[in-house]
Amino acid sequence: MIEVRDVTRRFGSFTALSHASFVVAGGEIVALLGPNGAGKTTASRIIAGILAPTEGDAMVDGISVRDDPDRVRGRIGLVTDSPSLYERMTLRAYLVYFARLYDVRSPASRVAKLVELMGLTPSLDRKLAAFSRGMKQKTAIARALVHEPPVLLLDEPATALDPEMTQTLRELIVSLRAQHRAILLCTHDLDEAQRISDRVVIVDRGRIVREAPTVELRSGGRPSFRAELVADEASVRGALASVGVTVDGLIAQDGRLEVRWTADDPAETNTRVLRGLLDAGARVISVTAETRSLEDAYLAIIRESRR
Amino acid sequence: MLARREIIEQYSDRASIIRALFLTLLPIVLLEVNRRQGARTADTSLVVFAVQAALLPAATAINAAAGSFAAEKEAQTIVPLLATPIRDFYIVAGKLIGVLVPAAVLSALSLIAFYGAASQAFGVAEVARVLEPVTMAKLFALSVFFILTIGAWVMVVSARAPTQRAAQQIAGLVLAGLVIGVTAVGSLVQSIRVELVVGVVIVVLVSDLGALELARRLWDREEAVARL
Repeated sequence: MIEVRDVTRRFGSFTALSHASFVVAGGEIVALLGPNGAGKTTASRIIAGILAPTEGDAMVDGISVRDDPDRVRGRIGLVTDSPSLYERMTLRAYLVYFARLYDVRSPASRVAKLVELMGLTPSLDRKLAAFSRGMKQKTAIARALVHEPPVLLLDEPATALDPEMTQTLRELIVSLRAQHRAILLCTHDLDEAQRISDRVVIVDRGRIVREAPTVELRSGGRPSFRAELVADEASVRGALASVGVTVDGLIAQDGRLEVRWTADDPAETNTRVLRGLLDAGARVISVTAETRSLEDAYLAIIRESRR
Repeated sequence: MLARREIIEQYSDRASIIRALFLTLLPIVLLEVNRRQGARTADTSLVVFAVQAALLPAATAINAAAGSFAAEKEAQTIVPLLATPIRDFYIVAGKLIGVLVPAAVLSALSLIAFYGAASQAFGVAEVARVLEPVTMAKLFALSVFFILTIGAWVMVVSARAPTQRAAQQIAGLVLAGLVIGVTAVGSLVQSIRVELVVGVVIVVLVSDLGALELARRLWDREEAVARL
């Protein structure tokens, strides 16, 4: 649904985005992560058809942002960190106004459905200036959905929202994925990205430095495992060596051993590890797959990219 | 639709309404002050007051035009607007109509109110003699051109200015130049041949269209977004 092809964007001598390429499929949430000024917003604005790429192209629903930005804009719903509302308008007037700009056939009924979805029906005829921050952001999301776009660009949508509202927003985004929409979430909220994104694209200083499924990124590329045992250290080392597994770490504490290893094929390797340990007389308390937080992975990748 | 929203946005605060009322009523107040000082009406002074009645309310267009892009950029409300499939031309045209229509309506109301007040003060026959329907129509046409010119050139400023305040300040300077030009045109309306007046009007109109094209080019979608 979104295909960014070797896109570069320069502002004078400053390169905001350099040769970026990535894809967001329908029914997928991709988190575009990066520090402030990394190029996330530039990327989202190019995809939204409101900023032309200097080089390269982006396709939205099969339409080029270079060739037909007007049609691209008609297929995208954009939510930014600031709700950016006309605060003197009522909620109803505001959403009907945007529905008409998007040429929605029955604006009134579409608006009625949306405000119900957002839980804003009681405030339909209130002025937007009187809304709380959370209600304003809900309004901005309703605006982005008013024309039922197949593609959603969410640029820091949870900024300044309280935890309850953030959770509601998260549930809404996940439900939109279930409707087979392609969702690009530009954020530096790594916890949020970790919870809902299927894949992660990390951008730093205008360059894409890593693109991977969220799970893979958290596993550090090679799945890692940890077992807690009651056993003799030498026999554990021997058992793992006999099944061809290299020990990455082994800590003895309070009569227990904590052993770590990595496995390219966990089903095969872990079966051999457990068989070896049991044959060596070890008593196994627990075996767990180790994952990094997305934050750890992100920071490691950013550090590596700056070396 | 864009124009209607622009009008609602521009005139939904008390300050804008008070400013518009003040500029509409000011010529009548000046007329009344003049009368109380014992001055007897002269043809020229009636025409001068009528020109004020036509042009002062038109000055509300300065504020509206200055806010057209700059205020939206400042509030970032321009981003959702730019994300819609509306072409740049319609956005600029919508904003211009939003500036033009209310100021023109105010100008017309002001002329009507002035005519009524002047008739009350100096007599219906005297005012009807000096301010013939054709003269009033010319004054209204002058105010429309004045608004169009202000709107077009101040929108050029608004398209580039980073804030509404900056746009208003620069627009003030633009206005000073325009007032001189319009005053000259105003005197031409009264004293010079019709063909020459038509020629001047065409020149002004062409320059306004040029300004609008300039505003559209200066304010392009990505320029506005890149500056946020």
